[in-house]
Amino acid sequence: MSELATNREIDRSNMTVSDEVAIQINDMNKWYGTFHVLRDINLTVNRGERIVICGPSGSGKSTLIRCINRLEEHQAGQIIVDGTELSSDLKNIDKIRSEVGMCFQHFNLFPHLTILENCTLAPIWVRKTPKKEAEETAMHYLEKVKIPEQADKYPGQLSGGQQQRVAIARSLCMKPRIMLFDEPTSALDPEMIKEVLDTMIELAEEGMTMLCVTHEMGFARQVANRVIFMDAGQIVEQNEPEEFFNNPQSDRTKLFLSQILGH
Amino acid sequence: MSETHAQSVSYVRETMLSEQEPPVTERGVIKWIRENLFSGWVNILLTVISLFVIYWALALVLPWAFGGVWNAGSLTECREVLFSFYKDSHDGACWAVIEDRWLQILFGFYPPELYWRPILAFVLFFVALAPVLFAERVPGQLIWFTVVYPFLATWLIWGGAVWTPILALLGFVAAFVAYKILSKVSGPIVANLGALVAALVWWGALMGPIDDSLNRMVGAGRLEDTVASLNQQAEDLPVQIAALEADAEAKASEIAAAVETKNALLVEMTEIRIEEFAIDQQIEPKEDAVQLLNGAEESIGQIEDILSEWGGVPEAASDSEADLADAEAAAASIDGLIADVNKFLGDALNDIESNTADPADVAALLAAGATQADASITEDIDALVAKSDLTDSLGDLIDLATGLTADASASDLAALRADIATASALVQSDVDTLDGIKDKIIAANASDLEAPQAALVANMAQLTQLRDEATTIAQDNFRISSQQTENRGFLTALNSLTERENSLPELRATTQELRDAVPSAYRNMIDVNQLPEDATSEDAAALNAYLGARNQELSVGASIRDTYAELGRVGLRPIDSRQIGGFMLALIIGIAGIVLSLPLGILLALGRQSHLFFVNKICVAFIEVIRGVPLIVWLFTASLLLNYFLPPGTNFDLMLRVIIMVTLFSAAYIAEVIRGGLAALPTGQYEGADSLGLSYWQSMQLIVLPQALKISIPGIVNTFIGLFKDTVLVVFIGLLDPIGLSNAIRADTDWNGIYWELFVFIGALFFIFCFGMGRYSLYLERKLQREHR
Ligand SMILES: Nc1ncnc2c1ncn2[C@@H]1O[C@H](COP(=O)(O)OP(=O)(O)OP(=O)(O)O)[C@@H](O)[C@H]1O
Ligand SMILES: [Mg+2]
Repeated sequence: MSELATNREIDRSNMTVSDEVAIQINDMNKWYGTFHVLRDINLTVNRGERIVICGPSGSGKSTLIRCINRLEEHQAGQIIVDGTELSSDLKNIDKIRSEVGMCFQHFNLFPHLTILENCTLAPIWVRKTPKKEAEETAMHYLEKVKIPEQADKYPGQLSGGQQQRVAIARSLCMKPRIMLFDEPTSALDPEMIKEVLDTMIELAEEGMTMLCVTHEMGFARQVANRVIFMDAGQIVEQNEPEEFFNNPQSDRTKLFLSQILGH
Repeated sequence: MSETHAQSVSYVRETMLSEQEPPVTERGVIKWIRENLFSGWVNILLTVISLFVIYWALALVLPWAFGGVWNAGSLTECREVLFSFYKDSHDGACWAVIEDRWLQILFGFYPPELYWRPILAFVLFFVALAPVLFAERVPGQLIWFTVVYPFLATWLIWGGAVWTPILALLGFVAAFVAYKILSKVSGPIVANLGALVAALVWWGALMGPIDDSLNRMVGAGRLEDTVASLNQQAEDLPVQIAALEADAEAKASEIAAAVETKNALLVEMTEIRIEEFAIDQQIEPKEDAVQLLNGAEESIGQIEDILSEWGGVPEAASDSEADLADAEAAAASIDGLIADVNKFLGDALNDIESNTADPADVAALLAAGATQADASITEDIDALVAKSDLTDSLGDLIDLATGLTADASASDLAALRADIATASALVQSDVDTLDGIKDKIIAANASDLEAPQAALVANMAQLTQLRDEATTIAQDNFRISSQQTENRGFLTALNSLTERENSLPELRATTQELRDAVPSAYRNMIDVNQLPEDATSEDAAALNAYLGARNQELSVGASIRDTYAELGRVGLRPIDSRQIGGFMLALIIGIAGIVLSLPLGILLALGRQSHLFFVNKICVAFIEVIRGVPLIVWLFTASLLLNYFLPPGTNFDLMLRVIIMVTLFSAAYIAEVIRGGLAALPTGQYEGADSLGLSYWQSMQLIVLPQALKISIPGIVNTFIGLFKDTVLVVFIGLLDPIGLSNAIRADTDWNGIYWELFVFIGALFFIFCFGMGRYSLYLERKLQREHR
């Protein structure tokens, strides 16, 4: 698993981390019923940061990033995204959701709409962009993810990798300031993984703030400027990729790394 | 390479064999039949059974349906015509009832001269439907027509002033404007509430007065012209009525003449068939006699059985009670059987002796008849058994049977039995001969009957036409007469209009005065019963006087409004709901129910999924209660109970109440069907929509519902079909749906006792619509399947 995600040289000129805080999570706790999934999460993400979250299955990685755009509700603590605190105020939620893009493991494209319609839907209805303009933007991003020719097809007619790239383009069409990825490649065949990772690397090169749950350690090494290891609902360890992989601090991290890199 | 090629060339076939068809058993129809109908033993068996069942059903139905009578004025006439054709060989349908009443079954008692209105509404319905059903094939602007259509259709069917539907439509516009304005300055909930309030204020408080003042405006300008034209009509209409009455009389005598002709033809045919009837009278009693003789023979057989079982006369083997009882029972049953034999034989003799004519008479009749075309009949006559031969032998048998006792010897019994069999065979052979003769007579008569039968058919057609014309005249007469009555009333109302208007201020003053006389605590009461117990009788009297005056003021005001509504109406003649019936009623209730229940069902389904406690619980309770009680109970609720809950004096159209109930009922079902569709949608779809920042309603409208509805189409259409058919239940609350009309038609003495034909017709009407809906749903499913996969 230690191979690199891309063979080309990564252009780091835009990958600068600013001092501005994009996401601030303070003492956040979450329960599913009586099950305490997230415990005392504290996390600050600066604008331009690229964070990879890893950890064993069931450790709460998905739950954490789903809390950030309120697909899940947290019960204690604070989550501040772009200066707006997430509360039950629907206006704030919709505002944050339109600023934060999200890609899912299973793409979640809308099967009854064409690729183009998938991409223009939110800009037209949420941003009130004129249809023509929205379509131009959508085509721009579809070109960027290298599938402009599929614009008039339905999601069911595309391969998994293509669908995930459409999902990325769909999020980008909202011009988000932060992108969340929840295991974007784990439902894909190896070849398709590469095309999706390439797209994500390009995004990173442009300076997008990214939070990415993934087990693609090559990607983490090359692109991330921080790797977070979670276990049992807690952030166990976080460090720069080199340090994290070469010199893990806690035993659990070591065990996890030995399992994931060992085979 | 080239050498080898040169050599091998001679082995290469240069001409291709012409294509050969596969063997006969492997192609075309034969192949299909072999594979689909006769591929194995079970299959062969099923094929044969199916073919038999189909044949049997068709053999039963087709002669009935296609041998039916289309022209007749009553069931009796139908039977006359059928009898003149088939006698008793088979039955035929009396389609004449459909010919006579189909308009009524379709339209109920809607005025015939206004049929164009519902028909136009029906045709426009499809135009309005096109943008919904075939969105991609028609221009998008047509959807505006769809929006306006409900108002247009209501106006066309019920009539009234043109501005009424427009004013009603403006209520929605008011709601929309209020929503737009409020949603700019506040949240969606306030905006929605504001829209609702705006619409209610418009409909409740503004629409009525605006309607009235429009009526007044137009009416005031028309008053003189209208009075003049009414006076003119008062002179013209009686003349028209007189003319129509004369026409009606002329038609009546023409009809009477045609009926005469018909009766004469029937008599003529009966005469042609006279021998046939005579022979029928011979055959039937003799067939009975054969049955009776066979019965007697069987009884003797049973006696023989008992005797042989007991080895002679039943006698107890011992003194035990059981044995004695057995023997007694056996003896008793022998006695019973002997009595039976005697009775059978006596009846048989009676049948032949007193119910049949002498063969000599039959022979004479046949000889005198004109049907001697078939000479062989004469020979058959010779084969007839003389009546005395039959009666004599039966007489002998009876003598023998009378002497019969339990200790008759076995040989006596056998002899008697054989004698009875012989007598039975004799009668049977006579019956056979008579049957043969009858067939020949029928064959010989057939050609004689052709001419009068054809004449009868022509005569019935003419008679039907005459009757149709008479109906038209009667309808015209009725229309003009009712117009005359209405005109008279209207003229009186117009003449007193100024007077009533002038009296109004005075009435108002009186009311005010009397109101002031009532103690202030009681002034807002609307009934004397509301007074507390300690109120004095003077108070009660004062309140009573005040209420009386107020009622009068209100009723004068209402009567003025009514007069102006009639006077100032620009539009169509108003039609009362009670006049709407038949299939049209079913369609109106069905379509309104379908159109209204879909959005309501969607809302209920979403409500049932909602996390808001009260919304969720209210929706669940609503769905469960509505679903848990039979529709017929809801309909009775609509027709009877609702009146108790409504403020007294409100006149809430029964049909509207039924539509509301049917809508609620099917909405509950639709909600459950759609809930299934919603549940089938992966949660990823909701999350995808949420993560893009779509609001709840946007994600429902754009992402969730299009997919959930697509999944639910079969269920939804199924519910619609059920709803449409269930509209016939309104017959139980006194609405004249097709079934109700069929009852009304049967109540007419002309068509008393006719069932099948009416039900077949009504069933066919429903079938066409339900089948159409089913087909459309299939088409839609396939189309969506193609598009999205
Ligand atoms: N809707 C839910 N209700 C109850 N428990 C849940 C729910 N969703 C997740 N969980 C539990 O919360 C824990 C964390 O789940 P989560 O999906 O965040 O794990 P994860 O780290 O993303 O795992 P994976 O790598 O398998 O995706 C798991 O133990 C899971 O069983
Ligand atoms: Mg996960």
